[in-house]
Amino acid sequence: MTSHISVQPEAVLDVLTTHFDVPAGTAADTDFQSLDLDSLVLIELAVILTRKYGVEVDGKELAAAGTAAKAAALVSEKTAHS
Amino acid sequence: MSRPAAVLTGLGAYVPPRTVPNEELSRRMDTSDEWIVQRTGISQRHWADPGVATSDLAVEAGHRALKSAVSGGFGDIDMVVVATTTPDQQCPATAPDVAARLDLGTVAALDVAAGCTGFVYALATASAALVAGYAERALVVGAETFHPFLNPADRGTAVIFGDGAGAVTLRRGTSDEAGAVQTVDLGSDGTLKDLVGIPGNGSRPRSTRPMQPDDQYLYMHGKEIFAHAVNRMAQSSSAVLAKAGWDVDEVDHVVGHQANLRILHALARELGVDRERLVCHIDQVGNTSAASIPLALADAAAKGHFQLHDRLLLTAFGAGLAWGSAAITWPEITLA
Repeated sequence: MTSHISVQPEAVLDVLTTHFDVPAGTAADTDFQSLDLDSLVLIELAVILTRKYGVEVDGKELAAAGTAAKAAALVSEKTAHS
Repeated sequence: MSRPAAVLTGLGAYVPPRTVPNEELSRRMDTSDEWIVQRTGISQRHWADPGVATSDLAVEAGHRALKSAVSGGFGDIDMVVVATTTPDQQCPATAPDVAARLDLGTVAALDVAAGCTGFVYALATASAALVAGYAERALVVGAETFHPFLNPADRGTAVIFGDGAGAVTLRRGTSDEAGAVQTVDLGSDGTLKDLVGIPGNGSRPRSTRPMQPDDQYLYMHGKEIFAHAVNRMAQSSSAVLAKAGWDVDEVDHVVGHQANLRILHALARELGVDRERLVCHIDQVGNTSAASIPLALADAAAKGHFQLHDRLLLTAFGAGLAWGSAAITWPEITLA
């Protein structure tokens, strides 16, 4: 049995825009690198996603994912294997 | 129902007089006030002058705590616990020296080494001794002199750590009294011991290889630690609140280890606590490790932020890894 959750890109984007100072117009496919985030933001985002979805995500994985959409896919994938 | 508990009776703090603003560090290394403030929330720290050691800071903070203690009387203290990662020497412990210099006589005295969680562990150690009846009144000091352990070439640590000491006095009492330590939660994860440390004079480096110049310095993998710090402090906070029977909404003040303002804000987010209830003192003193919680308590108390019977959640995280939390109520305390 799995507890697969389909995490929508908009949900990750919502966390990003609610808690962090990202430019207006940031979209699910906006490259994180273009947002001028400091080195801690993706770590903080990972902490929130870890609690929210109950799977361990770290900042390096989010940096590698590169966008909110791919981060959502990563978290979805992890929930499928948790 | 009332039960035996350690009760807070006095509070004191001391930082060495030399203030080191971010601008001073930015002249020495590749950093800036903006970079430091944005990533850590630190504006300045205090560094002890050459010749000043941890016991010197501990004695001053301890003296102030004893003066502020409601019960007064230095001779009443029969146990001294000093939490530190930067003791005067590897051996002997710093606490007996502190006790002697405070004219406390031949009391029980020991150091607690639990990194930045040292104060919470020391509070738990002293509280347990008081509740067990092994002591009647205790002095608990968190004291650090980190400046000599900072690698001047490592901006990841050199801009963060500061020197200082904070102390509380405790007596045996009951849980329904204002100032009672209601309960504690402690934990550790030694599998992550290499994330932060000082190889120093330890038996591992000494028995395996020649000493390296950098062995004397603190190293820290700050980015890796960040998430562990937030998660462990949040979990430990929830655990101690459950043990105390407090809802998080009933907590008046969250006094987290002052490691990084971003960590404190993330902790507040995880706990569902608004930032107004966070006690923040890091901007003035940086990360003072085991001294950070009593320094933050003294700063907030001096500003009149605490009221009698307020509920305080103390939570800390650091090298070990080790973490811990305590639930206390606020007593009538007059700072010396």
